[in-house]
Amino acid sequence: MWPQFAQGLFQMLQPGNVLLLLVATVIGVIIGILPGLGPVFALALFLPMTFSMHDASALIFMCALYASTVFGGGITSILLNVPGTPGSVATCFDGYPLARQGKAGLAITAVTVASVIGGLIGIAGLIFTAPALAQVSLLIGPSEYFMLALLGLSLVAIASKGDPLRGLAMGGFGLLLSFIGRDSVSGVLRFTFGSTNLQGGISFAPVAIGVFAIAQALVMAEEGGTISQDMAKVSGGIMEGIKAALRNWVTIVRTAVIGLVIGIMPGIGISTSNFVAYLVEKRLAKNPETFGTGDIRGVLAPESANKATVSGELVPAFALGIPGGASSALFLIAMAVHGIQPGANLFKSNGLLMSTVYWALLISYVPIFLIGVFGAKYMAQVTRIPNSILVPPIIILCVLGALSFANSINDVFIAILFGVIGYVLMKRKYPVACLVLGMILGPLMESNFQRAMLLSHNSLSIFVTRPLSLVFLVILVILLVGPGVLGKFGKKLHLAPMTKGTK
Amino acid sequence: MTTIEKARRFADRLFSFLVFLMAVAMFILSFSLPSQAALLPRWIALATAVLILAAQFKPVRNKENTEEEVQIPFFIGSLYLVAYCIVFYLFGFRIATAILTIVLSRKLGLKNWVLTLLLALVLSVGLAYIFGHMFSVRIPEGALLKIF
Repeated sequence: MWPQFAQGLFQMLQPGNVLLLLVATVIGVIIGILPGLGPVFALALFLPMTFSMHDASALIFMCALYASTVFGGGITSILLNVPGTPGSVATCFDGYPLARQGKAGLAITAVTVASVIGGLIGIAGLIFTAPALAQVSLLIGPSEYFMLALLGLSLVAIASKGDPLRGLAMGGFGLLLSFIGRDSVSGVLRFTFGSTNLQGGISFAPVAIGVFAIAQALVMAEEGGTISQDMAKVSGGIMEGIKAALRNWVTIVRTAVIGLVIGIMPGIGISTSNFVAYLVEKRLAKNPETFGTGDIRGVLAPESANKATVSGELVPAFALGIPGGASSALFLIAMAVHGIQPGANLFKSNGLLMSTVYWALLISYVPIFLIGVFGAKYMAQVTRIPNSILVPPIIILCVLGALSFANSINDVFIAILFGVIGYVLMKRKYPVACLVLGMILGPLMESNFQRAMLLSHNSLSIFVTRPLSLVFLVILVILLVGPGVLGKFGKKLHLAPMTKGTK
Repeated sequence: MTTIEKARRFADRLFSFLVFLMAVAMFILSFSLPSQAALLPRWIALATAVLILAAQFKPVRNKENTEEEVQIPFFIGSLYLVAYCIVFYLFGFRIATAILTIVLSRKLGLKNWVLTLLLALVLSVGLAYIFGHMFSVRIPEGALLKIF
């Protein structure tokens, strides 16, 4: 293990890779600072550029981009009271009051230190839990794997922002799209509707670019104008910020662990972990009334948690091939393009690559720290760039990205079509991530389903006779039916005394 | 309900209808496939058709009564993108990108013509050069321009 870590560090420190990491970090912080453009947008927009890179360089770029975008969101929360990413909403509660008190420099430095510590704890979690979880995957058969993938998809639909019913429908739509083309097991051509263009199936990369990036560009085109005119001034406070963060190390460590655990669970992610961390810290504080008025713990908690969530989200994706959210789904797309299979083999045959990924995540916090401490106020100026200048490059980068996937003009049309679809889905409260997750999980689910059916001589009983598969099925049923039943039961319990009262 | 919200609702209904049609078609087509390749798609198609239908009866809580200030409504933005696809196919990446950049940035309020043209030049020629040479992407020349 240790020699591979050393080799991984050596690979990471190759000049080309260091340059990529720096470029990705700067781009990531800028995108994170721009409200509305989160890590999913950044990963989708730059995903195609990784296709022509070496596999290690591609993952280094994506890791640095992911971590730095989440970091950038916190800066906007403090300076503008507008969360840059969904993972920094809770940072506004105390970050902006601190900025109004003239402590923006202190807050940003403290957040940077918390981000570095939270990020390191998250990476440690990824290093130790992902290989262990991957070993578990070796013990489970195709029926269990199928049920686990179905459970993962359903969890994302239920837990993510939006309507669960619409999320499940989108998951189903994504699965249907993945069935188009040649069946991977029997080789039969299916659902091509007579079109030769559909014989190779619909690639998930142009779809992801469309629903995550082009859709966002349409939203920005609708909004127009600039993101911000009023910005708090940033001055000094570097040493005070470092001291304030280190004084509250317990808060940082505790919320990082919370963030890591939330990240590992499918479907929840940074949008929830920052809130949970904030609320837990507020609950545990001796003086909770100071939260919301500029308490430094109120910015340390969410920012430490969301950095740990970044690594946590990668655990099920790397270990099982089951993404916990849209960001990790995009990682799986990049891995698939480079022929990297997630699962137990990833840590055995691609141990060096994984070590490089760990180092990339780790080292990306060096430029993040430097940007956070010395460059945040300059970076924040990007919020003054008008959408009239931002929107065209986003769309054109998406077009070129879709084109670079397979040099096919059809992919451009698919990306644009799904961009329009993605816009409608976003505005009508559909959890868009479920569509892409369905497309990614489709081949995995179907191959395991078919293998399970072969093992059981075409009997569906295998899904209920295998204990672990049954457990997953029961959890799935509880998750799908439980809230409805509990809701009705709860209503009855509440209505009974009310009815008595009115009588 | 505002016009923009009505348009979004119409687009949602149209999209849902198309997904429903696709699911039903895949459900029917699955019966002509060997059972191994048909079983899972058949169930997922059935489930998706039911779910997308059920979703139509659940209201979407949007701020429908508040008038949004809209720069380029999405249906216009979508039309621009469709037009871009057509010009892209006929005249290639560079011409289509230059036109789209000029139209979009002007519509979004960029008053400075020099900046607009510079942006169009960078995106259509600069990015095409970078992607063509650094990422080995074949930049489409356009079906019509190829003929001539």
